[in-house]
Amino acid sequence: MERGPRGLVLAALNPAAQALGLRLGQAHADACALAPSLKSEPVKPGQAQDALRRLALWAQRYGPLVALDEGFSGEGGYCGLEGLWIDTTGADHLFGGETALLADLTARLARAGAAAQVGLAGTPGAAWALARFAAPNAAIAPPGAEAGALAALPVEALRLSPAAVQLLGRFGLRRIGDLYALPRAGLARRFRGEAGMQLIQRLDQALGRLPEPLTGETAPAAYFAHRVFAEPILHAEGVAQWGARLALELCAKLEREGLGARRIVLTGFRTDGRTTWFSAALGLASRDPDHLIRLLRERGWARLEVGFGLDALRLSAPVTEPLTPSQTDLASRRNDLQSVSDQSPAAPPLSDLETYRAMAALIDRLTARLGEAAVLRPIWRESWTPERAEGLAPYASPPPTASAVKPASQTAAQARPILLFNPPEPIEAVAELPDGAPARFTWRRVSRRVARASGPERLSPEWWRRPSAGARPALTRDYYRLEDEDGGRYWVFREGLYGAPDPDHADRRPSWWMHGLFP
Amino acid sequence: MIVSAPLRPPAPARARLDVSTAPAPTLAAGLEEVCVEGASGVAAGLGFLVSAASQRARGGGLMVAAPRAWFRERGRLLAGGLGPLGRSGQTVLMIAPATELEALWALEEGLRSGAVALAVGAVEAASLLATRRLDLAARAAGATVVLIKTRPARDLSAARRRWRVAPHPSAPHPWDPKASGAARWRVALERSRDGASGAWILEHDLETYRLRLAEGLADHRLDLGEYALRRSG
Repeated sequence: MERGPRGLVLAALNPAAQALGLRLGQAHADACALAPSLKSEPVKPGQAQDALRRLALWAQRYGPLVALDEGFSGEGGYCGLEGLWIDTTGADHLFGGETALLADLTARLARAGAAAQVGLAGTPGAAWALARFAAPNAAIAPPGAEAGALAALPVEALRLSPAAVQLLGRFGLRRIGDLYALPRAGLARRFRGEAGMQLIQRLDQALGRLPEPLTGETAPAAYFAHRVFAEPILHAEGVAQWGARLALELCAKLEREGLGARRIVLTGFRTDGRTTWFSAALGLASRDPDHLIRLLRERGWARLEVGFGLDALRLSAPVTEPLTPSQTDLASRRNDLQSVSDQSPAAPPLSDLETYRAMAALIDRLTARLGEAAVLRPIWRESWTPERAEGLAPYASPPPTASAVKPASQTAAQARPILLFNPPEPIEAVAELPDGAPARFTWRRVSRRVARASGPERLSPEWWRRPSAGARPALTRDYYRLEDEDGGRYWVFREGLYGAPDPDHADRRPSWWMHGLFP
Repeated sequence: MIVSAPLRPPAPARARLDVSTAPAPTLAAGLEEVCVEGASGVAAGLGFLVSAASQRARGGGLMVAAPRAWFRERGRLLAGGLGPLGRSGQTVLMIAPATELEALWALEEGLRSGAVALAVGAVEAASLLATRRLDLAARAAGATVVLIKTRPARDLSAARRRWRVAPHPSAPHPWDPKASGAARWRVALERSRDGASGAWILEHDLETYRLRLAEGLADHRLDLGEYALRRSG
């Protein structure tokens, strides 16, 4: 039940309730009077839509484009008439013809516990009408025969508003066939206003005179390999075996088109009408089946939740890029590492292009297995704050503001440590002079005496940058290179100046920090 | 009751510092181990292995793999700090997985891919099998893989050589006696499967990006003076 304008109304019924004579949109109080034993629950918003969306993903096994039809819910609308549009153009022969496809679809839905009616026609409007109002044996309209197939159906089958249906009823127009004979101009004039426009538009859409584009729930992948199984796959080994074969098929398709995949998605269609999927991204377009299989393996075949079994599997490449075959060197060589034994000489070094490709493939594999956040590379920004100037970012998704190449302004910079602590660690330091290098400092509870020191390198805060929320505003830093008596080399800084405190932060005393270690 | 007594760490190399006059060592293809102590020891070990890597290992990518917690505690690698070691243009790949096992796996993948010429792993507990696999993968690819250890090893290792590296007080900077000069390390080759062990005090040469003997036949203050003159001029 759901809350309507006049109290609680019934929003969905199970077969038992329908057998009692209850109907959709009935007031809850009336229904309770008719059937005192009625058990009702409030509608969870979005639940039906979510279920429909899951079903739409599953229905992609019948065609690449599946659109949702959420029905006309609302005041007196066609509640409970939600459905899916599946564009089966060019796909029906895979299932043995249109009749066999519909039979297969109905049988699978029934097995999954979803009572569904199906219809098939050349236009979405006609299919909508056939699925909901035609007898099951007349659910298919051959192309061009929509008019005949729809003639006997009631006008509600044209997806009209209740007001328009009521109006037509007053004129005695109850069948769609009744409308064919009437002059269009008169019909449009008579049904002027919103209702009339909708009538002509819907009629034309159903008969194919007006185009009606469908918006798919997911963009259809242009390249995919698909396999339907007679016996459902029940474990990850089966997924791995078939996934590898699909990868071969997909790569063959991509090779014919001169394309390489940048992203691959493995989708499993479960027997209970749900889908399960995972994807892997590639840094460099590739159509090497071994690489794709390895990527999927690193992601883990077990990511597909097999449940009660998968009866179809699809490997698709939603993002592709042109990839022309290129010869890397005169004697192209495959580096087959498995066959190299301990005694054999080391493999010759790879060429630059090969190294570049090998690096891209390596990063894909590492990212697939360890996650994006674990595979990092240094990035540079135009900044002189050390921890900001060189940051770390995932290889797979570098931030747009940073550069992967060191800017020229930093190549001639002062010596930088090899290990950097971010954030810096507080130390206690004793300096001979207030603005001099420390003579002794304590870091990580070990006191160290400074043998040699150089500096300072003074870095002012970047006033043009707003400090991030919650962070203390930066003060001027004086960096020193210190060497203790054992030879350990440190990079410490004093934040803030003695003698001339910043007028904005007069309460902050200068403090010492450990920021890095030199080799 | 079972008492598990840790193996005693080998005696530090400084005890027998009869400084070798053999040429400064370089790292070969295969697995090497570098034992260090303390935070500044890790930095010294990194500096040593980057400078001692072979010419070939300088060309390809550099991969550093360690558990996330290691980078938090020891500090993260700064590519800008590799410039003075002669590696400013190198592709740097940092792998920070959750566990040491994943770091070992990443090291092996990197070596097998052929794109990594020098792989550095901060993995304390690597089994004999894991080190053997790393060694084979590295030798097949002609790359060097180095495990940095901060604790005395309990497991057997397939490493060809084991180094112990510690920072050493540097000579004063010729132009500023208070400042420190070129980096020096005390390097001991504790175990070597195919050569004699030895101990060196090595200095990093900022001009040729090579290691040279800091003490022994001659002290290199004169060279340092030249270096400082050229750098300031």
